[in-house]
Amino acid sequence: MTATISFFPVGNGDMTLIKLESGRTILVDIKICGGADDPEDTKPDVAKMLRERLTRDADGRLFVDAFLLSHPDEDHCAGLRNHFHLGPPAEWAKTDDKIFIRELWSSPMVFRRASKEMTLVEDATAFNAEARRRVQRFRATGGQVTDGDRILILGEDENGKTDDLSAILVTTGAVFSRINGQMDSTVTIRLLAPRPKSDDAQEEDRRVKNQSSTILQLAIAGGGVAAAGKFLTGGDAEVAIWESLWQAYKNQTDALKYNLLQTPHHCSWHSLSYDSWSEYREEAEVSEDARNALSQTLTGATIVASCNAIVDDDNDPPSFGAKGEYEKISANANGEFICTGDDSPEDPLEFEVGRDGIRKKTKLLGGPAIVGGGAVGRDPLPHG
Amino acid sequence: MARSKHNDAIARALLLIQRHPQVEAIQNVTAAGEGATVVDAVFKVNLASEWRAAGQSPYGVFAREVVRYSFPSNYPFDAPAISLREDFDRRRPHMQPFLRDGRPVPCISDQPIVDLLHAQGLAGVLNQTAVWLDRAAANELIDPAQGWEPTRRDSLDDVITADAAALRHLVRRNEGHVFLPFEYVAIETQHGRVVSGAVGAEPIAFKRETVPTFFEPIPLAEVVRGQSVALVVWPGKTAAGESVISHEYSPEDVTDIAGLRRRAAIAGCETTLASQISWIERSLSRGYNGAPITIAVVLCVRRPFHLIGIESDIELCPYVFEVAPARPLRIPESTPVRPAAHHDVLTVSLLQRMSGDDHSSERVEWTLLGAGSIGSKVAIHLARTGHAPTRVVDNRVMRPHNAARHALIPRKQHRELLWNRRKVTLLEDAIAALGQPATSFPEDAIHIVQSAERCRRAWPASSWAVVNATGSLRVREALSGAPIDRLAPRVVELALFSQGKFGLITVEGPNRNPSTGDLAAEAYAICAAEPHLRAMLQTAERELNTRSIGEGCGSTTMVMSDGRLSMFAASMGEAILHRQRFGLSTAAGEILLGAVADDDVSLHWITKQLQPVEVGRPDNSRIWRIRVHPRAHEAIAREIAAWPGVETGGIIVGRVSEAARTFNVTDVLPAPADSIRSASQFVLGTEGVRKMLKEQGEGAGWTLYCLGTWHSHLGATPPSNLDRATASSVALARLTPSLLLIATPAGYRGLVADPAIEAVDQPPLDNASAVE
Repeated sequence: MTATISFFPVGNGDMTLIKLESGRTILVDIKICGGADDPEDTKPDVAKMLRERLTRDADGRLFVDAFLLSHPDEDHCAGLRNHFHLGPPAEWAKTDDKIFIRELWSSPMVFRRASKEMTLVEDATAFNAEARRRVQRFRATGGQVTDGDRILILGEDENGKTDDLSAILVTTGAVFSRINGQMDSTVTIRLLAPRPKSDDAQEEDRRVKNQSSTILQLAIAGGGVAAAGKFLTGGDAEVAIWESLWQAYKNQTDALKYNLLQTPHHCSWHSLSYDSWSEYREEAEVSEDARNALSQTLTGATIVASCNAIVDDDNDPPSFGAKGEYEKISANANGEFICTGDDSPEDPLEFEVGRDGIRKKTKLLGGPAIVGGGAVGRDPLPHG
Repeated sequence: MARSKHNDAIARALLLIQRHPQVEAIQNVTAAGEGATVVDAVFKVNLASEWRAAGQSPYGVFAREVVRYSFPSNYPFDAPAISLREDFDRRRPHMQPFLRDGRPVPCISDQPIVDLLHAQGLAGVLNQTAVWLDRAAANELIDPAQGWEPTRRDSLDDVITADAAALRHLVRRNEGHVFLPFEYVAIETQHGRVVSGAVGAEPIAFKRETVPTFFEPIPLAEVVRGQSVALVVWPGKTAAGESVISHEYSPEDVTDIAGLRRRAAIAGCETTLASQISWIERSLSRGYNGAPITIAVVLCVRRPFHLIGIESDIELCPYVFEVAPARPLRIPESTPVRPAAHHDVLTVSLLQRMSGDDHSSERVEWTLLGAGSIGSKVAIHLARTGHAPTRVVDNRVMRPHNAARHALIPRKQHRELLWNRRKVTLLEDAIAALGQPATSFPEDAIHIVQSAERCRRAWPASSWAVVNATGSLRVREALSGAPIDRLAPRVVELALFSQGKFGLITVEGPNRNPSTGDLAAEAYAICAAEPHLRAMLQTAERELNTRSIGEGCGSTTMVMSDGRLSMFAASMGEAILHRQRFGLSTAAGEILLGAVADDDVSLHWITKQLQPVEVGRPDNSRIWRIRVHPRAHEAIAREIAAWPGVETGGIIVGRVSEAARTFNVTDVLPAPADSIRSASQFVLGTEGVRKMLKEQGEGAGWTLYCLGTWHSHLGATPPSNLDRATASSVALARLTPSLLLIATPAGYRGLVADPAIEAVDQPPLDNASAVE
């Protein structure tokens, strides 16, 4: 028995499914647009790929045990309303056949009002509404909630709005194994961010954008061996957050160690530096602390950038400069750097966690690859 | 790749290997004479990250492994041989006991590679290779859930038949032994003695006093028949009181008594073996003066978990060796010892069913291909009605496990000595015993197709039909491609699918049009359109996902009761009998599809007719043929009539037979709405096409898929330069050959688009008469 980690081919965006040995599933972010909803679109149909990897419950509902929205940007929550059931469990309808979320994992951001700095797309607003519905349900039932109503708040709210929610609150820095209300012995998860509010007003400022991003370190069991593989996923967290993580954990680096890292913010330069990549290029200065926080590799570690193919240009994200940094970090560990857009633009990039650690899943050649339409349907074909 | 001697199928195979997601590159493509080709594929093995950093797994598998595929000249009829680098650790399980050119040979699948090739294509072979390497790297080739893989001994000449359950029952907690009677026949060959023997059930008292009367080698005309002893030894407990368990897999390497002792030491029973060998020496020193005799030894090895397919954790490892009388008799360490294959004895059960036929008429001449379970059953059904096949073709031998479903039952006398006889001979005997002499051909049907002379003997032109019950896709392809001067009688095919859930009977039309290959493609189309039959098409895909590596790696055994098989065999026998009595269709081919209902009892057949197909040839190839099925032909005609004065077209669907070099066009899909039609050209659009092709392919389980395009020409003109340019661009985009079908008022023509064909276009080796 192995656990799997699947990065779906969503271009610049995140959509990651973790299937544990216990069978439980944790979905981190989604970006379902184009291909899935428009038959003429040539983007990979990630909704179908996701559904193929999920199972149905006794009521015939496809489900995930936990869905985490790392932060409320469109490239992390697109397609939520179209593909996931939101609202009371009883309202799930067979005809829509949407994916059922047993437990929602939310940052405390949902308690804040939308502000000038933070305008939300409709899917993010819908996520917030669903999170608030579940919190309200928790309060109303005195905590007696079931599948589809459960919620876990990752990180405490600075204004005290989570103070009465300790039963469903994970404080930053804590380690937990509870998924959908039950202890899961096949994983331990460390909540590294969102970081508590800082007294430094300037630093706090820097965090306005992407400051709320959730960062998790998952120690995943494989082949019956506990913590056989460590996976660090960083949402869109930027350089200030990583600097603060290094300051917090530089004497306890175990908390940042990984066999597999999902680069924050689709291989953005701004997770490593305050300078603009397009302005300064090779002159841009890398933050030593942020780089340290992202360099806690275990031997042979793999670094995955979930983004379009990375080329040598001024784009950011993905940034050619950041790719260079990550390549150096992985090379130091005798590991490898993989960009989903280069390696696996059509299919999910998948890893297996076995008793010996994390390894890339072997790809097989299927019928469609051999006998698919080929040129037919791709380009107009003239015939004389 | 330079223009080389290999055929187009091998050229295509090389392209496919390079496209496999786990293959980094191919190298050392070399001609191996007579059209054979050897290629090394560099596989990327996905090691766990720490091992990848080290470059190899602790079990000696590298992050890059070179696997050699040796393609025979008659590929794809025969499969490529697979071998690993010379220094690959051979002490892995699922490794063949022999080397190929000094290179270890992995056992990648529980069925012969050639069957895997024909069921799943080369992609299936490559996929299994990739999965095998993964498991070897992680030391997971033995899967506790699946069971311990017994040491490979399936290519051994010496055979010991014994009741495995009874032998295992002898094993006690403490180390021990027992002597059982051993009856054998021995043949002297140029490589030495080959023994086939049976171990008895009742232990004997093996003492000096009994030796003179007990041991009896009886020289017969060609063989020695003898009686001797089989020594069965088993391990006991460790000093700590735990059972001795052999955790390590190790390939069979015993060649002499010293090696046998080492093997026994690993198993934990060397003390008993040593004392009993010296007991044999002492006992025979006195009382025995006869010819050399064969002695059997069975080591019982205790494994950490149950063996594949059985509940016991005891592995039986039999050996034989010879001793010549001497005084005193010594069995030196250098005495040759041969590992023997073990065949289980048969538990006698009622396998036979009686079915009467009181109809009496002239016996028709017909040829049965395949004397396996379906073939033998149908033959016996018909023999019991007085219509046994007059010729039977099969090159395989009978094994004890065949008794579970084969129509023939063994004889009581010397039962265990008769295994390894040819099925075709045994079936001929059985038919003859029912008063109907038949001629047997112990040959591969493919081999017969390759020679006009052999064809004349195996299926004279006057025969009523050739019934193909081999269940072999390669035989189907060979028959389908055989020209009418080689194979005049119509072919009737009988086959089972999906563990006996579905059965198929096809009957060729007049002049063998539609052919047995056309009918198979049409059957796929029927299944895709019939909800209750669609599951039949999904088999290959499911097997691809769930196939486990090697269960003892012997023969593939379809899990199916004898009754289930007989349900279909009975219908098939009746179908043949009916057509023998009332004649074959004079107008069309026939397809009969049977499905067992969910109650596991009801069997429902549907019968469909297929009118002759339209036959064409591409303009740019001498060897490929085009066969357009009536439904596709009519749709094309309708489309042309709907667009007078301009060229029109669409997408063609069907299947490609690489072996028979044939395109079967079963259906057409409409041109997309953004296509452009004019008097001089037709441009196929793209709107909605990808979705349509995906749905079509998935609905048919990818047995039928997009073949390319068709378009009309207003006159009987050849392909234009534009057509050739389009063909070239299509060729580069797909792994299978594509077809640009052109419908002209004078019939079908077209262009084959295939990156391989441009380099190589020569007649298939197996089909010499396929010329202009």
